[in-house]
Amino acid sequence: VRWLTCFSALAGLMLPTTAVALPLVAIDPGHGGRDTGAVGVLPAGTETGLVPRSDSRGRTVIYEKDVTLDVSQRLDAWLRARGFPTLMTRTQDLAGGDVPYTTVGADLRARTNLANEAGAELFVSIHENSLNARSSGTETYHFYYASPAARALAVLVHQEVVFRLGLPDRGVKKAGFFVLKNTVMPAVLVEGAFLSNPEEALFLARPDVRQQLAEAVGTGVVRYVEGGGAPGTPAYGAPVSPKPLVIKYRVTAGAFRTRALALRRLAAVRRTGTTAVIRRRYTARTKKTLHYVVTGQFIFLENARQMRDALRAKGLPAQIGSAKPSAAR
Amino acid sequence: MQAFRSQFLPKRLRGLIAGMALVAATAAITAGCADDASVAPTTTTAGGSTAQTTARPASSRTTVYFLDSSGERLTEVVTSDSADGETALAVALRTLAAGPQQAGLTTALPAGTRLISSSQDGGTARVNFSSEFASGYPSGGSAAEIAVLAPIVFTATEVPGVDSVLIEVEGAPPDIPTQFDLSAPLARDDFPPELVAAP
Repeated sequence: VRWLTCFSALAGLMLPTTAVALPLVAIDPGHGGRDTGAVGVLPAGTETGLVPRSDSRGRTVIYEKDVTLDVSQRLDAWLRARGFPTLMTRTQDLAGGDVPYTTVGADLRARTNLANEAGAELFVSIHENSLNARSSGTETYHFYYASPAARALAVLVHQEVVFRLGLPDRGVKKAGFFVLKNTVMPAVLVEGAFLSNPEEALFLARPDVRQQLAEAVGTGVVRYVEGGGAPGTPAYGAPVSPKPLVIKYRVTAGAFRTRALALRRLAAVRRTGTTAVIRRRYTARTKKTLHYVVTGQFIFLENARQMRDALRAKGLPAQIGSAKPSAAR
Repeated sequence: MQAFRSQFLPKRLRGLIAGMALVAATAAITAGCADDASVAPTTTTAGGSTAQTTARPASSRTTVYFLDSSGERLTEVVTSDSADGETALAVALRTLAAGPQQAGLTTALPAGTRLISSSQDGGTARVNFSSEFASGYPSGGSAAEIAVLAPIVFTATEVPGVDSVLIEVEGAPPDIPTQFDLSAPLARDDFPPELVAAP
């Protein structure tokens, strides 16, 4: 009987992957390469299961970039095991896109470009926090103009992480972080615990805790995709086609001859609480380059229609176009 | 549709004015008047398009934001000191860089950070810090970054006419490990509202 109960509890988290189209989830391990992220100090010789690190004074330390990559890899495996297509913005101790670190601007832009161009439908950035030795707890961010969908994702992921890690609940917050501002899909940034707090650094040094953190974030994503009970959450109910999932549709709010004109529209779109980016595309047929204000990319036409109609309801011009370059190849 | 378009007109004009101010300010800086912080090389020399940049009366009140003892909440401090020809923006930022004088307040501005210059282009304050700002900037953590940046942005945007802040280090965009986009101006919106909520 106990086995049965366990099994059904587990099954509740497993989506019937044969019947439901799951969204492409971009997983963003914060920092990397020359950018270590926050640094936590551990008791000498603490086993972390990560690359051993020490500072200039010979103390055993733990780098945020190592924790975020490890948690992200665990999250990636967890989501893939449940049928989710995923995209990691880096897979090694490198900057975004697995390239050597150059500047913070290039690093962050590579991450958002990867997710936007691959048509990711959710974006989860994994970070650990830092302030002082007494700071404690979990907080989750969404963009200040976030869509209801992004807010729902933030709330669900946050609830799960707070529940599993059992650290103080610092709340769901809004901020203008680069990866939240420049992604076109619902995006959240999770700060699991404080590396500046010696107890929480030691906590994050445990592989089992990092696994719990990863599964908590994953469970939040699953709850979101299932509808999460939150109003305004999109449901991914379209049947899976036997073909591989490709991004086919792109919702645009205008196409302009100059970037300046597109930027103005971009600002107007963002003022309505919609995330958007500018994409330039050359059309061979018309021999023209246009700057498109892209608000979303979709696998399923139904989801693209939903966004188009939502934009039109806000008084913005919106069209569905092909997500593939129209030129040959 | 008509309503949608009409939103743009004032913005377009504002952009034009800001652009002109920027050109004028650049000319002023290249003319070599950005050397001395205490002289506050602001757009006062760059023409009258930004009314707020004129020097203040010799003594007046300045609002500065420091952190409370937890380092997690902003606390407003109103000081009154002599301006001596400085702009309100320069006085406020200099007071911020000097650190809190009151017990129970803290600052997270990297140690040794000096204000080199400040200016105003339209609604954007341009704040130029010394290299200590970059070398002492926290390596990671949203809370740590917010503790450094929010007091600067809240203090500068307290100055009438300023709504965003572009941070520079030694006159160039800083290359520091930030999760914010420092190539663009920051506004109060970029920070969680809980920062100034009642405790």
